Amino acid sequence: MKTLRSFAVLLGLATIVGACTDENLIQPFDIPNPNQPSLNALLDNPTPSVIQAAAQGLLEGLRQGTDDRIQTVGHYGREGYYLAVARTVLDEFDEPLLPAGGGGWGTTYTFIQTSNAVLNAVDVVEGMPAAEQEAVRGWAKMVEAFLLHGQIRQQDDFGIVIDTDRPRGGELAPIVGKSEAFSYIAQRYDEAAAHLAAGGGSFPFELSDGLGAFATPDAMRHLAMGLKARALAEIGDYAGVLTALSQSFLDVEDDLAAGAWNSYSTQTGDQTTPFFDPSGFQYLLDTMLVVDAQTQADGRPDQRLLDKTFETSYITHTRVTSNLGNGVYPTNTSPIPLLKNEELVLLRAEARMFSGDRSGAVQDLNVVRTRSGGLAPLAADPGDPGLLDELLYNRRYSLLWEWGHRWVDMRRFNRLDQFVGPRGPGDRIFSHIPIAEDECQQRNFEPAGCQQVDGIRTTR
Amino acid sequence: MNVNRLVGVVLTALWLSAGSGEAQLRTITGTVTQELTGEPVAGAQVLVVGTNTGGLTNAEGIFNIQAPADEVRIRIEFLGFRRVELVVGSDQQTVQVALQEDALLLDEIVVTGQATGVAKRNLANAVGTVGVEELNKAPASSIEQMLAGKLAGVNIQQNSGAPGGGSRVRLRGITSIIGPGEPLYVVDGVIVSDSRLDGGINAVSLAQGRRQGQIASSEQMNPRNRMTDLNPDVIERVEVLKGASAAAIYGSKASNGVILITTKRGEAGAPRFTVRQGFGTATRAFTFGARYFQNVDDAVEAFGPQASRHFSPGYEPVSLEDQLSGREPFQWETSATMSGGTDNTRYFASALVRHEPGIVINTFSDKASLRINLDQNIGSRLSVQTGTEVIRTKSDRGMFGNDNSGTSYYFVVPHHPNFFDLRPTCPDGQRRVRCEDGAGVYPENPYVASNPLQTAALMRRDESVWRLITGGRINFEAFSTASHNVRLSLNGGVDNFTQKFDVVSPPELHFEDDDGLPGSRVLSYAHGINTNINFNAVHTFNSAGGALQSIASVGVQFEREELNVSRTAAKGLIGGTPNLAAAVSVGVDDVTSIIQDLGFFAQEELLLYDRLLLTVGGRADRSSANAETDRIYFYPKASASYRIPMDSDVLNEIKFRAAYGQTGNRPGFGHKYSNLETTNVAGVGGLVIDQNAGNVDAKPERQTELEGGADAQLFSGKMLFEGTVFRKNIKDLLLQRTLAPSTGFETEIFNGGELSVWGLETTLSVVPIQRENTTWTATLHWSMNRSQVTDLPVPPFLARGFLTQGAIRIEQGKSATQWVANDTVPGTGLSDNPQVIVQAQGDGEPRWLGGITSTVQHGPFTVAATLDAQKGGMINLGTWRHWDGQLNAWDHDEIDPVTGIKKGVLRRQLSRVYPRTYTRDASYLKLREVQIAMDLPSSLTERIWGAISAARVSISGRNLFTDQTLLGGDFYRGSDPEVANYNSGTQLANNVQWTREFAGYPSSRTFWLNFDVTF
Repeated sequence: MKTLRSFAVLLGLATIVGACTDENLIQPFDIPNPNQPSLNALLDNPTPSVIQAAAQGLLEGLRQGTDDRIQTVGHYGREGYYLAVARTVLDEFDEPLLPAGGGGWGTTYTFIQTSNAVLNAVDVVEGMPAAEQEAVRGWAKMVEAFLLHGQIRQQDDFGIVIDTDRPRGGELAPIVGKSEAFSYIAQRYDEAAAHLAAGGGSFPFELSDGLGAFATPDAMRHLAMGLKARALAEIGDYAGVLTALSQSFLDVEDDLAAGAWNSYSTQTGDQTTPFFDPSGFQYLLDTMLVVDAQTQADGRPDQRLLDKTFETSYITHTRVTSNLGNGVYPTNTSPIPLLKNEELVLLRAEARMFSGDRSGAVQDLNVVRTRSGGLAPLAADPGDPGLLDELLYNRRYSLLWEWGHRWVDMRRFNRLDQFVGPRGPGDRIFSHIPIAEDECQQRNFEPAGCQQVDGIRTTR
Repeated sequence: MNVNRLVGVVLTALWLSAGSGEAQLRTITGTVTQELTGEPVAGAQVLVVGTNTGGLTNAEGIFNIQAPADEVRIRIEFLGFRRVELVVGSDQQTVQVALQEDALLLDEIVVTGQATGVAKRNLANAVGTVGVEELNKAPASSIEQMLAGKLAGVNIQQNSGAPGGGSRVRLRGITSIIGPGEPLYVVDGVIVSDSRLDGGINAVSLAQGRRQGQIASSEQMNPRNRMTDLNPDVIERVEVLKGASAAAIYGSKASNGVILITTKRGEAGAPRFTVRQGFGTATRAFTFGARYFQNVDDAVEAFGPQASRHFSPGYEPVSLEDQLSGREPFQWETSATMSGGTDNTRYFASALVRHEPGIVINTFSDKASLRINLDQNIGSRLSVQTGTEVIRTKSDRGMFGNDNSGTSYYFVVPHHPNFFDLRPTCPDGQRRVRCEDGAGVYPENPYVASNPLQTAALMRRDESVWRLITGGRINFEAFSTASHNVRLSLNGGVDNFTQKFDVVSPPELHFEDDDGLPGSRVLSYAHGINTNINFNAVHTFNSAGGALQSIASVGVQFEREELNVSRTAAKGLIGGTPNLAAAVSVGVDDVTSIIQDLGFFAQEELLLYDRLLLTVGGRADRSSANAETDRIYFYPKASASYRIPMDSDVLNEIKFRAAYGQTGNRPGFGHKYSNLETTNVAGVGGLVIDQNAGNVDAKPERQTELEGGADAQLFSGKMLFEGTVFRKNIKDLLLQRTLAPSTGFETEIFNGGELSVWGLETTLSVVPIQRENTTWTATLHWSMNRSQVTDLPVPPFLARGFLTQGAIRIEQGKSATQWVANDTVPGTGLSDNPQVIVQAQGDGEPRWLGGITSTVQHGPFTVAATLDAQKGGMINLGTWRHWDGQLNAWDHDEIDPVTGIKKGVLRRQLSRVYPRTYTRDASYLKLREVQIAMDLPSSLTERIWGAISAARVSISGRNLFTDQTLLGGDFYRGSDPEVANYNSGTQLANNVQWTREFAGYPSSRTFWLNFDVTF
């Protein structure tokens, strides 16, 4: 009897143990990631729909490649300061600049990784018409070139990496110098334009509203050429600038704000405009903008200053102070320019000026002075360095807080020493930003760009 | 040689030898009394050694047992008393036994397997145990706080001063670089969650960026760990398996050690009721203080031109710190238990209600818990145990931690000049810290985006948890003879919790319109379910004469952990309606993790002559977290201990022990996946490659631990010394390295490299006085450990952080917690052109930990105290850096004697080139807890109510005193050296880097008055 009961209980236990191995309780051990799609979808056997999604993902690359630069580079160019938080960034006026963090390299190369994957996927995908493939290729190469340009203007002579499509875990690509980087960027824009020219009548993917003016591959070609002109100007290839501009969307008759913009929205999963700061607690602008502004006929300052700034209470950290609110992006969904017609006009003025067509340059500058600044047109060529001063003045106010243009301009025309220190004489100014610390770690801090940058001191 | 086969052969041989010779029986009668008082001991267990025959003493302490006619050894055991063994001659019929109180708990049974245990006397591992007596010295928010400072090799740091607590627990130092570091918690056989989930303050603080879906940031917001939910009052004892040699039987979840919690159970007898009522308060323990500005120029230099409008010479300073965190709240706790039953049915029930307002305006933590434990015998062979605990916690822990929107309270504090008053004007025209019902007009803060007094008064961050932990065990004695016993047990349970986090940030808060979307509501739900089921079969064999005892066990365990967290952040509340649907912008975040494990284990324990204990065993595990989900990983263990009784009054007994074991640390959920990330640009969705590369070969880390030690009993059991040395070797380390960003990936997780940790642990327990009226016990412990990365297949990398602020660098041949930072070539630091070099600065791991716990009881009075010490370790003081960045530190104007520069100026100049400025030695000495209690005389209690059998009044305090310099630490004002709130979440690399403080909830001292009554 006792034995029988023991057996009954044992049987009961066995049943329970059996239940554990039942698949009702123990589900399969191979659990797919419930949170994110797998990388393999893009790398192995890509489908047209995955390529479409990845091509659209590059919109985020353009957007981050723009707004990531504005704050850092805008800060070196004395455009404005992120005063919301007394981060150590403000100490840079006191101390040498060191390789730090991701230094923008992360953004650049992660998205280039995606553009490379898109290019490779297009080569092997089945069921995608040839014209659509070309449209995708053109788009991907244009984004790549834009991202690399954003990177090289930070490192300048220190150089960057351009050979990006390498197997994971292999040897690191070499860091190439400035001229090699720029020729690669220009070549990539040309290739993009050629692909886009063969890209048919429409893109096989969606673009955001801010790129509405470039909704066909053919129109996008004009953007690629405009971006190329911007790059060539930085290395002084003015013949190239003029050629590229002639194939761009430059149009003095058109709205100066026409062009390509990065869009923001309040939609779920999106983000709002990063530099929107109506209360004036975060992104304050340099008060020298008020001092240096020219006046309109009615005595009011340059219309661009009135449109883009407002007075707020003083925010002070580590002795950097400002009460000039940043109104460049007046709403929380204001788009941030990728490239405006206004910049193309200024690029042509610059190229004409250095190609011997100074009156053409004056003509272009006057378009911007009058229409954007509300200023009187220049009656005549102000000579040297007056014309260059005028060009830099207009670039400063027209392209304020857009892509860090001011710092790059002052560097390429050897005027860094003319900066006014945010706290007066003795503040440091840097000509280059060191290579990202993470990159330097992997290269044993050997490249020239992995050393500290002492900078020069302001005299004012 | 096949170990299992060897064990099988031995067992069979023993089985055969056991059947021989059933001798004639006789009766032995005896009396058992207490040595000190002479009172009879009822319920003591009497056993004829080497058999399963025995009996219990009756109410008069008398027993009658049947024993073989030959000379026998009998053993008398009773909980809380030292075990006694004596020889009864063949002609002897009666015995007298006096039991000695077991103040050092040498005879307690310590767990060694999933369903087996041995007496501490024979134990081969240094398992830390804490019983109910030592736990409940002073009321605490959580069980971990009660353990702090009480065990060697156990590092418990309070991570936050916020009500409800929150700690980080590390056993025997570093166990992994990026793998999980928290021990496995098991409550009565149920694996329970200790997750730390941030509900979504990031949506307001923007600490980790302003992307709409970035709602939470567990690493920067110091979330509460869920072990704090448990009611400390139901705990009977806690066993801490510190390393692989003790915890191997838990396999691939046990590398960080295992904390086994056993709850109280009912005892047969008349119903017993206890009620405890406590009242408490708290005060802030550390104060930063602010700079007093001597003149308007200094004020303007620090705070800009408008400071001249608010500054007036000789002003009366206001302390925002005191206004925010200067409360001395009234806290209370009511706890009641009920227990009793019959021999076959026993019950225990415990209820707790605790209300703990914090020192900061509008912060609190409430807890309510009910546990019911039932034990039922069904016949003589089957017993069923169940236990269920329902817990409700609710808290608001304020707005603390890192911040990018100027809203975290202690972010604002250092950036606030003490000449500007932020207090509201209440309806009666008075300015107070807070007005009734949230009324009042708050001044706009012209210096930072928010007025924290307004935020504290009007913003709500309710975190509420409903949790059900339920488990059961069925024991079945399948087979039992004089020498053999086979026991089967089925054990398992569920830990199910729902955590709701509800943030309402109304549009009238000054910072709310800064994003053009005034008013925010964040609603998050987390649902966690841990289930585990465990089947064991245990065979016990006792040889005739007691020469050999064998316990063989086999079992299988299945476990599943599932956690889903979904968060919604709504911004731009239309008309201020705090409803997710009434918002302009809605962000969503949804994360699920599922891990499933299946393990098989077997173990054989052989005890020879009650002297030599030999154990071999192992566990085989598979897990869904591994890349190869059907691959089995095997973790063996073996140990031996030998007890040598000595014929000396000084040295009574010495034991040598050695243990070896392996465990795993499984990869985190999601480590194995390489992913695409979704993007959304103004409604156009896309995919991009995730910058974190997955680990396609993800497998568990493997820890091998060898531990050895000696335990000595001295002075007739009045002193016990335990010394242990251990060495852990962890291979196949889970590593996340930072890649060169030019590769397109920023980080990559992989298995590789080796880490070794060695350490020492010593514990000295003494009973200097043990008299009828007076007992004094004390335990001193000291431990240390050192880690070294012994193999690294990749170049050195930063585990986390930047060289400009200091970071942990993982480097071959170096400590896994070495602190590396930019430094300057000597002599250039304050020059015009400082030359920056990278240099190791110190180590995050303490040099050593120590503690003293002592209790003196004299008549009705008891005094107990715990002193906790840490030597070394480093902490990065983020808040202080902000005080200096604002030129606002209390000592800013003091002159540094060496350089002649103002201290505040000097520190700020040095901060980037010399990170040690804000990274300091974190040594401390803390008076953790003090209790003074008095048992009320029965003459008094009888006059109050006859039913009262005992009553006690006690006062206690926690964290009363902290010394930062006695052990050579750096004194830094304002923050608790123990609190490293930054990186205290669940993110990668928090195992090695937990040394950063920034804008955390200030620590407090607590004081309690308790009344305990037993019926």
